Amino acid sequence: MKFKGVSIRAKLIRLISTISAISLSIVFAALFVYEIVSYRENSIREMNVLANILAANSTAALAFNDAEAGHEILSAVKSEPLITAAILFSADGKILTGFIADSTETTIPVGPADYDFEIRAGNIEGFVPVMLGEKKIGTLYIRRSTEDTQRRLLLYAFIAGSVIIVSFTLTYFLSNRLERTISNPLISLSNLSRQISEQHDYSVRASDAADGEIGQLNEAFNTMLAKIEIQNNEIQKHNQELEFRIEERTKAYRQEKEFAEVVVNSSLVLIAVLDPEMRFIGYNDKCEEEFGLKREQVLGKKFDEVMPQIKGTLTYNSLLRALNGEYVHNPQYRSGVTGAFYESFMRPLRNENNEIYAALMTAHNINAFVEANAELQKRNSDLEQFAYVASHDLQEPLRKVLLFTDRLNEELTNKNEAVVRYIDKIDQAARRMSNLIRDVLAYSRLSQLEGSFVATDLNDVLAQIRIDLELYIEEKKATITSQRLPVVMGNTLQLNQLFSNLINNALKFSDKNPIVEITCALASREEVISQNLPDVSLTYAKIQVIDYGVGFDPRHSEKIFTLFQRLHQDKKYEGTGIGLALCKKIVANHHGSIGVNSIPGAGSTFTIFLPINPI
Amino acid sequence: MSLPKRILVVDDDDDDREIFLEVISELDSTIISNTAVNGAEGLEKLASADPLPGMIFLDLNMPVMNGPEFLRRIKNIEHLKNIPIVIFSTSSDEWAIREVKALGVTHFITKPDKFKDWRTAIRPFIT
Repeated sequence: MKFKGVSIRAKLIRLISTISAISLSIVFAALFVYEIVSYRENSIREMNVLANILAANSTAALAFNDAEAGHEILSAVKSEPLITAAILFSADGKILTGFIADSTETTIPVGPADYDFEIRAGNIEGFVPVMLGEKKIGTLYIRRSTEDTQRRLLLYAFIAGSVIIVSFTLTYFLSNRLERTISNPLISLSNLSRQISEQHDYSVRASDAADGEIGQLNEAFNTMLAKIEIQNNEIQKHNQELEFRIEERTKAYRQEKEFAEVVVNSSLVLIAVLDPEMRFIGYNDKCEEEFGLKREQVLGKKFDEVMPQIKGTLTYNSLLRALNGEYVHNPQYRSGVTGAFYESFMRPLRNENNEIYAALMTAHNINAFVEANAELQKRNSDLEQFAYVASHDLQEPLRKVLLFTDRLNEELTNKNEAVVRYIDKIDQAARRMSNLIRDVLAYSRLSQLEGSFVATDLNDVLAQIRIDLELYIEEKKATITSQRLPVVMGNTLQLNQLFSNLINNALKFSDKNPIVEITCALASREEVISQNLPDVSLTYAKIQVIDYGVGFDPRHSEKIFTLFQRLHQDKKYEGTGIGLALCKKIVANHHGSIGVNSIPGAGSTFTIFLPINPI
Repeated sequence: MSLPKRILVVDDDDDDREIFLEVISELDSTIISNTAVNGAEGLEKLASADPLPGMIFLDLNMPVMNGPEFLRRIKNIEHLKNIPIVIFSTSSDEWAIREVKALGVTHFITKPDKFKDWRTAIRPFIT
């Protein structure tokens, strides 16, 4: 029997039907065997009785050898259709009389073998002796057909078959009904399982109508369902929370992305991002505008593929360096692609594992700035040239005024007081003008004489200034102290002029026994940044020139460094108004900065930041 | 330095030439001074000079031919190149001063603005 893939209902029905069929068959088979055996015994006994009665009645016929009488006796059984033959044999074995129902039959049993009955070829036949007293006077042969028995057995088989069929059918229908009490709860449980697995509805429950094992099964199933339902609800709650959070994040991410895109695309700066294969992965609107290529045309493509002229340019090499981890700043260069001037900055972009995944390029077009700067430089240079020439040419006539005033003074005799005073005025005015011209000349020459920078020991510079100002220091009874100063890269003459001017000022603006202190320290990082120095990566020395002189209103701290700016009306402090402008220009030439703090009546502190010679 | 009995003054400035000659004659009246208004005239004067001047006082900033050019020329002329040269300039001629220093000149005078300073400046070269 094939059970696999068959429903439990069919299985149960088959099982019950098969069992009932087998048991019925066994019962019928046993009855059948019993019937055959008992019939045989009965038939033989009946035949024996019948034969003995006939033999007893035939005694006279045999004794008198009267065939007719014999025949009459035998006729009594002839009417019985089942008796197919009866023959009387005389003592010597000859047939006295008899009959055989079937006349075609030729085999007539001859001579009694023994006196027993047996079933042979569908007949019961046998011989009995005919006795007269103690003497055997003949033999009776009788044969009876077993046809009736066969019919009866056939009928019996038919009945048995019918019973089996009916009972099988009944069994089938009964079992069909009965098995439902078992299979229905199971099937409904199975259907429930399928429904749950298909619809994920854990709120359904198995019916609690069933009892026994099925009921227990249902109960266990329901308990399990209840647990699953709770867990499922929890899971669903978590899922919903998670989905909500993901949605929020996605929204926030999208907003951030849109925000970043808007910012990047609104930028006046070119922004591009390149992966390690130098393929564009970012390219803003400004890039489209400057390069004349749309985003769709470049994204995912190599830089030198979309702009072949880029290969080997500063931009290209800087990007390669950025992909190697460098931060590259190119203050000014001409682009090989657009031909315009740019300032650019390239840096690596790193992921959370600190691996470089791209290079960022930002650049802005400084064409207008470069052009304006070039124009400005030219004008400035023209102006300085003019100042130089003008002051040179002015110096000559002035020298003549001085010279001939001097001659006039020498030649004049009998000078009255007024004449002496006038000549003195002319000399002073001319001398003042000469100083002015000299300083303007020095200022304009700063640009013209940009000699090479050499390592300059500021201690030597200071020593030279002490020598140059020896007389003045002595006259003023001044004290100049200094800490150890650094070596800087610079123009020695300019640096000399710088410190000379500052010390001169300090002495000039102090009344009695001036004290000038020069201090030096390394500039802190904060100071370097706050000073707006050109290169914050360098190391700077912070040098201060401190005096305790007359000082000035700190509101003028900026103004004081501009050309021709003089703060003091007092004739004693008269100057050309160029000295500090000169200092500022010298410090700028040396990539440093200068500033001043002052308290009126308490003194001034000039602070200079100069990059230290890196050697 | 042997006393030059003949000198040549090359200067485009009339006043300076006048003062110069005055100071020279004041310091040593035996000195014979010759003058030229620029480098070109200076070369002409030298070409016809017999005997040659023992010293040349040279201004730098001059029209037609300036001091440095004049110097370069005579440094290429065999019989002139060894005449001592004193540069006589204003302080604003710094560029030119550098140039002539490179040509081997070692004597410099900055034109003073006081008459007595002229005497002080010139005296060492002629006495």
